[in-house]
Amino acid sequence: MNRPGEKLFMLGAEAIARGALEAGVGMVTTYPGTPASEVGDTISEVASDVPGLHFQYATNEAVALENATGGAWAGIRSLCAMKHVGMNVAADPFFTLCYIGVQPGSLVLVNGGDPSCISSTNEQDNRYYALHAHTICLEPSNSQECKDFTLKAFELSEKFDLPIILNAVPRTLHGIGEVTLGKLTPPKAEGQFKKAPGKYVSATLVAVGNKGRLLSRIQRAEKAAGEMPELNRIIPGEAKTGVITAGSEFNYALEALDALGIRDFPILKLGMVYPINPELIERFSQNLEKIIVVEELEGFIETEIKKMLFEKKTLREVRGKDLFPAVSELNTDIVIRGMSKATGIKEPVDYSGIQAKYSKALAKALQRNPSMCPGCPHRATGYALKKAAQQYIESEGMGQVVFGGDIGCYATLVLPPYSMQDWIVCMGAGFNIAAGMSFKVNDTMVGLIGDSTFIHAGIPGLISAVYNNANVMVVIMDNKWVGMTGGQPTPATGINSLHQEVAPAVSLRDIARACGVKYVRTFDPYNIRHAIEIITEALEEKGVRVLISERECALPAKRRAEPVREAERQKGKYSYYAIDPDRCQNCEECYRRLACPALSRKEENEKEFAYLEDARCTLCGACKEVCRSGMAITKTLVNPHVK
Amino acid sequence: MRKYSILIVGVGGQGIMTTGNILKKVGQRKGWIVVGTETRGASQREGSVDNSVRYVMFDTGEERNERKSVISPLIPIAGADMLIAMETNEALRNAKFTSEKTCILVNLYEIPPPQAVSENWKGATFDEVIKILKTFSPDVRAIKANEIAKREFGDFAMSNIIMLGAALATGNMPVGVDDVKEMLREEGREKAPELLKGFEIGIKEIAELGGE
Repeated sequence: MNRPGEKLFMLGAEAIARGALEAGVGMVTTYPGTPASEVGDTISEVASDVPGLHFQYATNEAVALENATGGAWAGIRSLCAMKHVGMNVAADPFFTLCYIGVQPGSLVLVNGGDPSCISSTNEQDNRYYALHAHTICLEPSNSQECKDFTLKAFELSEKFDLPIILNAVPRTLHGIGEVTLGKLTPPKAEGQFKKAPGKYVSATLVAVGNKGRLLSRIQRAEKAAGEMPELNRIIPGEAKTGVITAGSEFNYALEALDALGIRDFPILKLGMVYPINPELIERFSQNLEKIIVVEELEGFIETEIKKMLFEKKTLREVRGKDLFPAVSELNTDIVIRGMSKATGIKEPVDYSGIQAKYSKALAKALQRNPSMCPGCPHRATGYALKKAAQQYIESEGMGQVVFGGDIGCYATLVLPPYSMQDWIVCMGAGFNIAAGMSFKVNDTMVGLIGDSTFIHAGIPGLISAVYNNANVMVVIMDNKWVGMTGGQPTPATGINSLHQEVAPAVSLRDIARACGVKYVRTFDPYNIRHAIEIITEALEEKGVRVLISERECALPAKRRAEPVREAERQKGKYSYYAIDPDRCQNCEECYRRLACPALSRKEENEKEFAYLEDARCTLCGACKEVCRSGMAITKTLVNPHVK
Repeated sequence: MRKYSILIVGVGGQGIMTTGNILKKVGQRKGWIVVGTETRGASQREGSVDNSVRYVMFDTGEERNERKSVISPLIPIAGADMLIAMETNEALRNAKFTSEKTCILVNLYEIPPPQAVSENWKGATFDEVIKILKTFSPDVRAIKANEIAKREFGDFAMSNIIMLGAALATGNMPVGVDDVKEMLREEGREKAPELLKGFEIGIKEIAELGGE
């Protein structure tokens, strides 16, 4: 691990983890969230080899930041990683932490943005948190900078007594680049909290005093930003048009300029996107008539530049959001098109010609939406819920069942053939909105929530629902792991943050009871017929009901079962599910309405029947449960050598 | 200075990340600047997967000018020099990254999206796919890597290595057959003989296809 000078390929997220280790980070806390998950995951893999490094998954981002704050105030270099919407959860401690400061330690907050909402519900631009909270935001452009800026962030945190935001997007965090390793620094294992009356208490007049001190700290940082060439640098050029850019947009801007044959635009690359030093801008724009700001999402830098040029009374033509959209991520092509508009230089690529050809190609390509894996317990739960809801409405003769959806793999139930979730907003909103709505409508309200999401955000909502007499059925889809982000453990999994030992597993059933819920039932979703019965009974009741659909995520279960299955295969016998084409009535229930990816329709000898691909099957048995032909799908233990 | 961009596309589980990693490592070993991306997460959710490998190659003694060497990890429209498509729908979906300078290598194998089965959608035929790809580039080579893998090895696992061999055999790439073989030997360890066998089969397939 400690091989300074060696060059390795790394994801940006891995490079941040490396940078933290080189900085001697002593505490890392996180809640998984794409695209930042790999920062915490990488640390979790090496933490047991670094004496003194405390790593933990926290239950949500506010807890993660508060835990990390404890580390910082004990004099430890601490890092907290989360995705952009996670920052909203952490915002409560974050703002006041800026007032109070992080000394005697330091704190770096890694924020994973998601332009284009590749795996998110919005593409909020979290640079504004730095402006709003009066702290520093750094933005790396590649893997090497991910490492270098992390080290710099700890320095800045100590120098200015501020938590530093390190902002990066999927193209940077999941982008690969070469990184030259530095020296690892062992962390400080033991911290010390020095009591200092009033220092860490921010309230009323003390808070106002803190605010004044905060503003002078950020002003000092703004001044210092003018002398930080390792972060903010100018690529000189003789032209009268200059480019200001940062982060991943720097890569697009440079490739776009080259594609347009532009060799002489001066370029200001900001590594610190907030605060921006006005003298640096003045210096950069001295001989310029026009400035093009290449940035993704909002015109954050553009607005700062315009403000500075206005205040210095040196007005220039500043282009930005009029050329590059505020919606979705940028790329080289979008920047080429914007630059072409700004300069009058012809686009080197016939974009409209290609788009015309491409529309024809796209029309012939089948749309590939994300789907649940073969054996996913959420599919079985979704099927049971849908069937039970349909039967319930039929028996009632009227009304509707409204499904509040939430964040996790089960969110894919929003797509056909399930088309089930009526809304997806943010963590915990599924049943909270349903509970609120239940006071105003007569519909049957159901809220879906995952186990990790429930622990993250669901508990206060559940207590409130009971306390306020909401009429909602909460279905906790307990697959034991944080599935969507790569399978991190939760307090209800049974193992600790380092994937070791067996931590006492928190019981969701006990939590539900402790929240005051009287009606709590558990079922195994693979047993679909039983699940439908349980759900139907619960739908007929009133008040707050909690159903826990309990079955481990198919991916880790399959990974553990593989060696066992392989050993059985070697011995010549293994169990598998098979569909008998003669018995299959082609009712389509398994491949169309259960829709497991291992199932499809096959046609042979003028007969259509369901076909199960053995290589993809996880032996969950859900298809057998829904088969209307009864004996068409069977599980057998066969010795293939005996014909 | 020369740039070379390889786009590898397909569905989760088809070995796209492995192929991309091998090509990235080979480039690193040659002392080139290598950047790229990988899709994460979607591979486990039956989703489309793509992996870009971009080489920036300087001549010996040539000055490394940032204005030329800094490029996006993503390949721009019409910017791919090589498209390795492990699946036909994904080949069509990524056609806009190709141009008349691109060598398109497509695996004639379809993984219908789960929704296609439940909603009964029909994909393009293999002939249609090749015809459409030829409107983007004249150099389209098609092999049935999954079929070959099943025949030679009993399952689909080697299909990506076969495609890798085929890609190298086109002669279009700045890396050589021996560069990749060396990497397969090192990275493959006990699996190396099998990988090399699959790689050679891919090379042979392209030789037999002739200059199409």
